[in-house]
This record gives sequence, structure tokens and C-alpha cells, in this order.
Amino acid sequence: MNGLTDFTITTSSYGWNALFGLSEQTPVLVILLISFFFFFILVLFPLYFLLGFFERKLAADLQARVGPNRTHGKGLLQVLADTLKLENKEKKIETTVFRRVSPHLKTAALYSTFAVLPFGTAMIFLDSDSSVFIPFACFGVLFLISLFASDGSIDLEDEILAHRQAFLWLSSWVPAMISVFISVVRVGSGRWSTILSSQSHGPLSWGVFSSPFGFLGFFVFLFSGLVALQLPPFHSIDRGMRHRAGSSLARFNVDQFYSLFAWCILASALFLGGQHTREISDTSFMWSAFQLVSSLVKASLLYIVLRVVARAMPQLRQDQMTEFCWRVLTPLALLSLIGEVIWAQLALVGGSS
Amino acid sequence: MIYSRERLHSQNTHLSWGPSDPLLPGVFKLFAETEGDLIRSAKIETGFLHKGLEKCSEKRNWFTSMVSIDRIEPETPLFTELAFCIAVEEICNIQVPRRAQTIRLILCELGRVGSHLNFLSRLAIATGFETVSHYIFRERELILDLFELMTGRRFNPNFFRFGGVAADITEGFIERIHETTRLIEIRLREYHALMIENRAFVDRLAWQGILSTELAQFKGLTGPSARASGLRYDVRKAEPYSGYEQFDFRVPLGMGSRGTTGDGFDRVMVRLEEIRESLLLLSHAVDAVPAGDFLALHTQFEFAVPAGEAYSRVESPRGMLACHVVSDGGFHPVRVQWRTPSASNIEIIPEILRGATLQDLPVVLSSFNLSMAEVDR
Repeated sequence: MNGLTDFTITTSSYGWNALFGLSEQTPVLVILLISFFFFFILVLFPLYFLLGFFERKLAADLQARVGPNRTHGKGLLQVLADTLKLENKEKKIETTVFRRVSPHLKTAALYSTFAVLPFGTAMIFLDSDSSVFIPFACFGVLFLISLFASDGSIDLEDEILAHRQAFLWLSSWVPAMISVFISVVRVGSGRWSTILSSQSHGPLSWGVFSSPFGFLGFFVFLFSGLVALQLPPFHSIDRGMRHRAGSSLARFNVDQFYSLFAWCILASALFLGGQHTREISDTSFMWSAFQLVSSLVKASLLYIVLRVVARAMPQLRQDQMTEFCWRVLTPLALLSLIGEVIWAQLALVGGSS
Repeated sequence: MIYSRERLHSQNTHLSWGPSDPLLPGVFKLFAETEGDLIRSAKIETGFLHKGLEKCSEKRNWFTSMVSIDRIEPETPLFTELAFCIAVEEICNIQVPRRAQTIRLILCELGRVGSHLNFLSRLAIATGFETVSHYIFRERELILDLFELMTGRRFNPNFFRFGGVAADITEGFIERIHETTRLIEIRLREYHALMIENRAFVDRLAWQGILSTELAQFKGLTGPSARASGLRYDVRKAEPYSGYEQFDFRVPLGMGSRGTTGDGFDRVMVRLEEIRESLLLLSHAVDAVPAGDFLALHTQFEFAVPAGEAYSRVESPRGMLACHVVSDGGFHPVRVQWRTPSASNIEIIPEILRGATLQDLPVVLSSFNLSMAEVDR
């Protein structure tokens, strides 16, 4: 058993140990499992219900209507009520084995990104020299599953849609990865802990304000994420909810929430300061809890802003989205990357002189 | 959606939607042969909303048949009422008082503004512009409030009578119209900024669903959809009725300002301009309501129309609405036949969809503002 749990992972997960009161000898896999259940039960689902309510209430205010107000707490439990209702609806029976299995594969691929999300310098399970790219690899696997799941589909429209999405994913991935490189260039490393440590509490040290090109990179990263994750206003026109109902729709909603929230955590870590400890040896329960809460608050605020702003925009056609990616986001990302490289060189020259 | 699995690996695929599908603007079936994303040919099947309203109005007496006539197009019931009343008045040779004519005109123009606002709201939903859609519904409520104030009902008012209207102008109605028109004028500028100046919105409509003037004329299209293609025909100008000849108003035409003449964007612009013209017309009309009776003759349940027939035309928000009424001198109409604008406008859909992409389908269909209630009756 020890052989299974004692394999070496370059990790900075001391914060999780401190949070759960576990010794430093506890195998990483055990901590990962405990944190996973802790995150999903005590963090993700309550946040899903809470942020869902705030988003809907703010959007309703923006749209000159009342918004959710029927459930307990002046509508606070509306998202929970909706989820329970969907769960109780009749289940759709898929006809092919792959279509039965693929939703679970998708869910597994999606939630596996938890292991590579940076919640703080001492709360990273996988902290290698290229750990910053790993979450995007996980999202890539998710995309491949979606694409292959459509082959053997009984629904032709889904199949056409999946092939359209293939190009869209590629179009959005290019600017997203370029904007990740902006952070890598800035700190000179692809390690999460280095990227987080390079930023402090002061906003001026954040990636977004560290150079004139940081904000551009941040903007590109956020919009690429919305396109890559097919979130409004970049969701496909015919993706709608026509073919989803009941529990599959409820799961789709939670998955969509998690995808955007995870993207917001990544954006917060790359550009908005993330969270860092002064010294890893200082890691205590309070400090770990502060790191986690601070990271979640930043991601939540970003989530709310993105969702509410997206409501005020019309939906784009898929060709318009790809055009937006190639003609706007990619050149902007390249421009900011080149600018960041020049800025970093100038800073080096300035520092040495 | 149903499709033929055998055709999956062939070059062209056959898709079908409906009769109830959120992609479609109403209850009908749409069959399309596609090559990838492009629609090569399309076919429509209607009749799923047939209510037999023409027959219903023939079974009732002249007075109560208005109940069925109201429901031919529930969104704009006053236009069907007006067309029926004009036809019956022609057979009976009833002279409608000037005051009643102006009241009819005011209510119809309010209905036109409400219907065009509804169109904009539906189009905003089709383009995923949910926020604007809610804003527009807010203004449409004001129009319904005015209907309630004047007729007592928000929908199916059953207000027009043979020879006039059911009641005189309610106290405060004129002031409320002035307030509402002023407010909607301000809000129209907001919609213009939100929709027309939004590149993403314009790109969804410009160069989409292009309808040429020749095709519009050949297929018998009328209303804003035809005028967007440059076809200058408006019943209010061509054959004025109900006092329209006394007012000066402009008939907007498609200019191809962002794409080309007759595209989806022109259909939106023409309707936006028509709202502005209707608001102007309303403010002039309410200031010029003449004194006098609001009803020439009090009809009863035993009302009989002399033998004869008449054909009336009015300009409804969707186009030319015509009514053919035949009487044998009895208490019931022998035949009430309708020419509804959506029924002729829907004929254009297969032509328009040829060459469109699947993703443009909801927007192109919505831009024609079809009412399946009108088509199927």
C-alpha cells in the first residue's frame, strides 16, 4: 500500500497539511483525496449556490427585473431548488455505450484539474517546472473526450457542432497559452510557486499591473477562457439546453460553473496576485485558511464580474468567435508577449546597470 | 431533431426541426438539406396551430364573431377587428364618425408600436441579447397598460364595433399617451446604442437572409419585411382608411446601411424607424381627436347585415391584412376569409434559407417576424 501512496511528486501542499492538521509525513495522495472532498462538499457546492444566486440577482437588476425571490432567504436557495428539481426529473437513457460513459469521463477529466489548481504557494499538489501548463493539458483532455464522444453520436447536429468546436478550441487555446507565457516570461519560470511568490499583496506587484503589457495579457486570458470553455457570450448558438434535461442538465450546470471558476482561479494566480506565504516553514492553519479564502474571494469576484458582463453582450456566431480569436486575441497576445519580453530585458539591463 | 442515419456519411444531410422547437419562431416544421453548415434547400410544413377561427366566426352572429376574430393574431387583435369592421361597414354602408376613426387609428398605432417592440425583443433573444430583450418588454408593458386603460383589457380587447368603437376616450388617456411616447422615444435611443451601434449584433444581421425587391414582389410579400427590400407599399398610403389620409407620415424603406438592401439588419432598421413614425403619428393624432360621437350605430345580438360582400385591407404590423366578408342578409356571416401577412411572408422562407448557415437560422427566421397564429388561423 505504501508503494502506491509514496511515489514522488514535486509538491508544495504543506498548506493543505496545516489546514487539516495532518503531519508532513502524510502521503500526498491521501491529502489530495481529503482536500478534494473538502473542496467539493464545503467549498464548490456552497459557492455554486451562492454565486449562482448573486449572479442571477445582479443580472436581474441589470435587466430591470426582480430575479429569484421565491425560495428561503429571499431567493438565496434558488439554485439549490433548481438543481434538486432537475435531479428529480426523468432520466434520459443514452443508446450507445460511449455516450453513456463519456459524461463520466468528461466529469473525471474536468475535476482532475483540481489537483493542479494553485490556491496558494503552499497549496499546490503538482509544482514542477512546467506546472503552469498542466491545467491547460487537463482542459485539452476534456476537449478530446467531448470531440470523440460525438463520433458514434445519434445526434447529427451534435456531431456537426463538435467538429466546429474543434477549430474553436484551437483558436482560443493559442491566445490563452501565449498569455500564460507572458507570466512565465515575467518571472522566468513555469513553476506555480515561483509565479505566485513573484507577486505580493500590493496590487502594483500583480501580474496585471507589473508591466504595461500585463493588463493586455490578463484581458486575452479571460476572453480566451470564455471562448475555450464555451461560456456566454461565446457559447455556441445551438449548444443550448435542447438536448440536456434533468440530471444531465444539472451536472452540466455544475460543470460549467466549475470550469469558469477554475479558470478564474488560474487568472487570479497568474495576474491578480494569487496568494503567497512569507515563509513555507511559517505555514499554519490560520495562514493556510487565509490563503484559501483569499484565493476563493478573488476568483469569486472575477466570476461574478465575468458572468454579469457576459449577460449584457449578444451571442456570437462560431465563425465570429474564431475570427475574434485569430484576428483580435492572438495578435493582442503576441503583442503583449513581445512587449513583456522587451520590458523584462529592459528591466534586466536597468537592474544590472 | 430527426435525421436519417444512412445519410450521415453522404455529402448532404437531411435535418428537420419542429413543430415545437426553440430554434423556430413558431409552431411549424422545417426540413433542411444541408452540406456541412450550409443549407442547400429547405421546406416548411404548417397547420399545427389551426384553430378553425374563420369557421368559428361564421358560426357566431355578427356581433359575437368578433371574439373569434380577435384571436386570429392575439398579439395585434385590433387590426383584425378593424379589417372586419371596415368590411361590414362597407356592406352596410355605415359612415364611421371622425372621432371613432381617430380613436381606431390611435389604438392601431399603439398596437403597431407594441408589436414592433415585441419583434425587437424576440430578435434580441434570437441573437442571445437577453438584457435588451428585457428592457424592450418593459416598454411593451406600457403599451399594454394603455390598452387596459382605454379598452379594459390588455389582450383580446374586442373594442371595435360596426360604426365606431365600444367606448369614448378614457379620462387621462391622452396625457398617458404623451408620457408614453416621450418615454419610448428616449428608450429608442438607448436601444439604438445597445443594438445598432453594437458590432456583434450588427454582424449577426447584416448580409443575412437577403431578400431582393423582385423576389419580395413575386412572392407577394408586404409590410416591413417587403419595405426593407425596397418595395414601397403601405396600405395606409396606397388606400388610406380610418383617417390616415389626414396625417402626414413617412414610410421607411431599407437602405442597406450596414450590409445590403433587404438583409436582416434592414428589416430591423425599418421596424425601428416605423416605431418612430408611429410615435410621431400618435402624438399628432391624440392632439387632433375631433369632437362628436364615437359610435354611429348601436348593434345588438339580432343585428343583420344586408346581402353583399366586401373586401377590406389594413396595414398590420406584419403587412397587408385583408378580410373578405360575405353576407346573405342573415344574422351570421356566410363567409369570413382572411389574407394574413404572415401566411404570404412565410412563403419566402425556403428561398431565403437557401445558402444560409445553420447558425443563422434562428436570427434569419426571427427577422421576418412571422406569426404562426396568423398563418394557421
